[in-house]
Amino acid sequence: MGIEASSRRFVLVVDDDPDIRESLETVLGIHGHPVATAADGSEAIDLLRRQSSRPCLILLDLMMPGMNGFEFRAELDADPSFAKIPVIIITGAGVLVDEKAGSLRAEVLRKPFDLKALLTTVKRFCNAGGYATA
Amino acid sequence: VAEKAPSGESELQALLEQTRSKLRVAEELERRSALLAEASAVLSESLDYKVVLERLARLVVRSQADWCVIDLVEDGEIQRVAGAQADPGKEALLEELKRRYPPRWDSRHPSTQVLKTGEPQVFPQVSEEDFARLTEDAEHRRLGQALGARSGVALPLAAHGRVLGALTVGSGDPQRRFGPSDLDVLMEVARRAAIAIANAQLYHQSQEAVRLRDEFLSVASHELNTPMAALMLSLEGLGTPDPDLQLDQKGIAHVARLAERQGKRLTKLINDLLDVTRLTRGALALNREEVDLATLVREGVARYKAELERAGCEVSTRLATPVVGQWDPMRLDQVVLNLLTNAARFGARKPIELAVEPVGDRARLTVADHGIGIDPTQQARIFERFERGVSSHNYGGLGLGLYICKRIVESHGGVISVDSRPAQGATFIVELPLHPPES
Repeated sequence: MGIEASSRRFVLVVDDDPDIRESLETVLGIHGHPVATAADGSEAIDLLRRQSSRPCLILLDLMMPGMNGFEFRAELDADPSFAKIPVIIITGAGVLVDEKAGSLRAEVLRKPFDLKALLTTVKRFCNAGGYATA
Repeated sequence: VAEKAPSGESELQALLEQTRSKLRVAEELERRSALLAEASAVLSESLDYKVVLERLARLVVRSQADWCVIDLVEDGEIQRVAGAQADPGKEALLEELKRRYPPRWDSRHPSTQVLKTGEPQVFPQVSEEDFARLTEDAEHRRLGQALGARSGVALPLAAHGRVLGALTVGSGDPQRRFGPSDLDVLMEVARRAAIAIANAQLYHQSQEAVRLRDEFLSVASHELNTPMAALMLSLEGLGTPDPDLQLDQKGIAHVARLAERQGKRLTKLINDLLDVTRLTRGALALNREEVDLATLVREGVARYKAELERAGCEVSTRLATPVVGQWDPMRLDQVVLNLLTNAARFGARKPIELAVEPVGDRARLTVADHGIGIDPTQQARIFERFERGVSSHNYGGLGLGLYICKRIVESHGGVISVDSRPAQGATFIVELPLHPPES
């Protein structure tokens, strides 16, 4: 789903799993956070380049076909206009990936998500003042 | 006394000669036992057998020969893993021989013959004919000659009934002729080296198995957690206590469908895991009945339609005639579903083609995609448990689907194979006998 032409700041979900994209979009949507989605790193970069507004937060999966999460993060870091966007890693993988995720200097939200923790995190970055601002 | 003197002198001479000869034998024996002792020490130094074999080659050269090379069979190919020569000026020669005339299964090297037959090859004196027979061309002979090739031995490195490699030594010294006594000591060196290599290989295999298991656990938790995450989000979305956030009827139905899909995904993953445990324990019990493979495939595609659409893959089927055999329909359904899942996952949003046809007394099922394909070096591995043709950084999946397919197909007495080129797609071919084998 695309982003309505609104001033609301959106969350960008980058995950190859269509069900994760759909459920995050649905649930964050219920709680008043617009969501844009991309199935891999290069789709996300394209989306960022097309958008004039920046997402308030990127929820990034690590294991993806095409450009994976690690490569996407490196791509973001290399571009000064993207480097400051906060990134939270969303992963369901075990310790091996955790260790590598550490190298990305990013917070990790583990799948399955604790909805409260997810919403707290999103609010912290997006500062949308909750769902009532619509 | 004067008469006895010559005889006494010759006796003395004979005695001296005898003593010298015994001394030479004793020295030779000592040299050999020193070589064996040193070889054992070198071989037990490390589990990195390539490093160890380099040292061993140098040791053999120091006490036995002008040069020594060691070839091992790795992944079915012959690899020259170590080499040494007495004359430091000839170091480049060994490198050049290795680069330009590496031993292959169809080359004429003595080591190739040893690897094929498992028998030692001894050349006390290399004749013109021998040399021509053992080399590829004039240039090979020139390099061999320069290294020294008047006498030589090639020995198998065999352990646990398998020929793991070959050790070849040679000399350019006209006085040096390899014979039975050299063979004894070199065979002993080879035997010890082979045991060390076999142990190191077993060690590396077990390390690799541990690595695969760790990666599998990481991937498995990812695979289970992904649908679980979507399921929990959906359920929490439904159960939100805030009255302002209540979903309407349509919204509830949508989220419930999402949740149901996740439940199904989790069930399939758990069944795959249980299957693998069962399959590793032993053969699969089949419930054979009369099945039309064409109908089974048609129904499988219909059931998986939504997933294929989401993967952006159009499916075309060629299921002209019924192909009826005695199979386990539930198990074959699993094969079809696993192959379709792979085709959708790696199919790069391009069309997928399925076909079922009779071929003599067998049925053939082909599933072809036009996606990322499989690197030729990975093609044998992908049917093994926990293996994947691609990095788990990029693709999910338990790495079990093809293993399960293979075991099911083999339980039916059939075969599964793949034909693929990177970036061109992959075609999986399943062939099943129509009837169970006579028992």
